[in-house]
Amino acid sequence: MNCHELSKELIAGYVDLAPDVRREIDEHLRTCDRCRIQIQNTVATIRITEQLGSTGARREMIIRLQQKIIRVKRG
Amino acid sequence: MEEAELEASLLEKAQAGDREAFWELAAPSVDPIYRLARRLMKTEEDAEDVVQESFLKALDKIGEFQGKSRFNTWLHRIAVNQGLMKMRKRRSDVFSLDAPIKGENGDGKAMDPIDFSESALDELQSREAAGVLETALEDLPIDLRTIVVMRDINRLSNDEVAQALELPLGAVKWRLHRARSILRDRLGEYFAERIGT
Repeated sequence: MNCHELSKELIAGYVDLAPDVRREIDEHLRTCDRCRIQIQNTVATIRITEQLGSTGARREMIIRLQQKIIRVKRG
Repeated sequence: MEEAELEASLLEKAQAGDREAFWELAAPSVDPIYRLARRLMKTEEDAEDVVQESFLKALDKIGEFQGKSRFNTWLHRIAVNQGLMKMRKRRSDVFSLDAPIKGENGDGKAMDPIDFSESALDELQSREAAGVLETALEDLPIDLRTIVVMRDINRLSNDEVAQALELPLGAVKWRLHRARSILRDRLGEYFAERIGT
């Protein structure tokens, strides 16, 4: 595998790949700093994106929604 | 009781008209659906409307839910549709989830990428990077944004995202990879500037 084969999209999807495909890529990464950096950066980007999941809805909104669900008439 | 078993039991009760059971089934999805709606809609008010309308729609249609996907996945699907409907009413940011994707620049073709992976995961810098990412997310085309929120923020699987959006799995993966690349390159620009100053 070379840099061209290891396309940008494949780098971005590295974390989702099956272990056998990953192994083939890992071979390439041992000798290619550029692709290795791109994959490390992608993994870091995904980790930080996951942190955005710590936010949630306002408590008042949730209570209001719960009350509506329990009381609403079926239409 | 296993999670799937509990969900099936609550679903059965909810479909028989038990509102408490419906809420118990739906409540864990409020935060994820809010996170999705907040990134689809331009205002907090519209986002909260989409959340409320999505759950009321789910309550109304619960009899039609056949349990072929997880309930949470089904709610994501409803929320995307409710969001789209509201946008169309506002006649703004109208889009299609299977619209062709425009190519983007910033391919990193000319310059060697800088390695920001360690800096980005440092606690303080990670908070700043999260702010940069939030802005970058806003700038993403809405079809890519929807997929990133579902997959990387709300932690649905690729299969679940495909089910929720009724897109082929390959299309979901391709868009996800595209979106992650754009976000990564935006973070790269941010860290390159920091290092340069």
